[in-house]
Amino acid sequence: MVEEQSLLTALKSQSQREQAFRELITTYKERLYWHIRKIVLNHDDADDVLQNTFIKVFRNIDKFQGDSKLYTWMYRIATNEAITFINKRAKKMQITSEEVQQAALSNLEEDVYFEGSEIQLKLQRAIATLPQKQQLVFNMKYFDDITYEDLSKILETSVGGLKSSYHIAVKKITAHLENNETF
Amino acid sequence: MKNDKKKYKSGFKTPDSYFEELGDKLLSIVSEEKLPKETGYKVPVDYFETIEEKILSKTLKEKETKVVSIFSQKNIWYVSGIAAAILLLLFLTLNNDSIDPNTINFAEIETYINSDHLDLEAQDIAQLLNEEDLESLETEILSITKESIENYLLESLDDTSLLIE
Repeated sequence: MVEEQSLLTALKSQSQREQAFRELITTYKERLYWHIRKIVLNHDDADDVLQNTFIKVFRNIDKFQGDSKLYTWMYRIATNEAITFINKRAKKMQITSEEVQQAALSNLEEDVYFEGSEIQLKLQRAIATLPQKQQLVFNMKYFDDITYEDLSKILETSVGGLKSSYHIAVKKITAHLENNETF
Repeated sequence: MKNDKKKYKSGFKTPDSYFEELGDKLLSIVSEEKLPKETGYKVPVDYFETIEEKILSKTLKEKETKVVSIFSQKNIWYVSGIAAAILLLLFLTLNNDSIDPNTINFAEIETYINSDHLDLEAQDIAQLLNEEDLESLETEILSITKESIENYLLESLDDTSLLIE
């Protein structure tokens, strides 16, 4: 917390800003990339969204009040950026955002940056059957192991709501995989 | 003696429907253990080593580039008026959902506008301007140099291949 506070102070100071921003990218680039990647699925899209996320963080850091953790604030920006990206593509292609995701999923097998096993591919397909919010909760809890308290700040949902969302997601995914005879 | 019939009460209690939900919770934990722990996604070689410079070159270049303002002091008032109208609209819309407007930051407003939730037509904005305003805007626009437009496009366009032509 002290480290985050000093990083924040440096980010808001003109003289230390560049160095602090470099440190911020080094610290969070991988975590944010994998979070975004699980939403947009494709590497090039994740790269675009990650860059936009950091640019937005850079432009808005002076307005960050510090009433939440810096990392939950950045996760919130990354989540919004990724969802906006999908919605914009859907609008451009005149299809739904679910169809955008299905199209990205169907390209996964040929994607050189996906080397998942059959079961990993099926898991991604099962996750895609969930409503968007449940997908976010499942990915952030299951793969990233983010606490419910932090998740609550990122997604602006109560801890109780998130817990039930996660359990429903696990149930649906298991049922989907069982119906497809994976287990 | 039956286990479930205690003679004395301990005073402890559980949250509502704790035992009803316990089975579901445990089942989801057990089924979770069968799921793969990795996603299978990977990144190009050296991606994370090079991404910092990529982002820094964009953000720092932005700081160094001289910004050519297309708005005079007078026109800033019009733009501020439009911005105020947008904020008022946001306030009214969001207030209906009992969200405290003080908790919304600028990044969120920007995301909201970028997500095309704000259905503002050019005509709505034009109605805020009178003939004199339009004339002065026109003069301002005519004074923008070709170079400034090119710089702006280079900064803002995702697909710069359009500029090759």
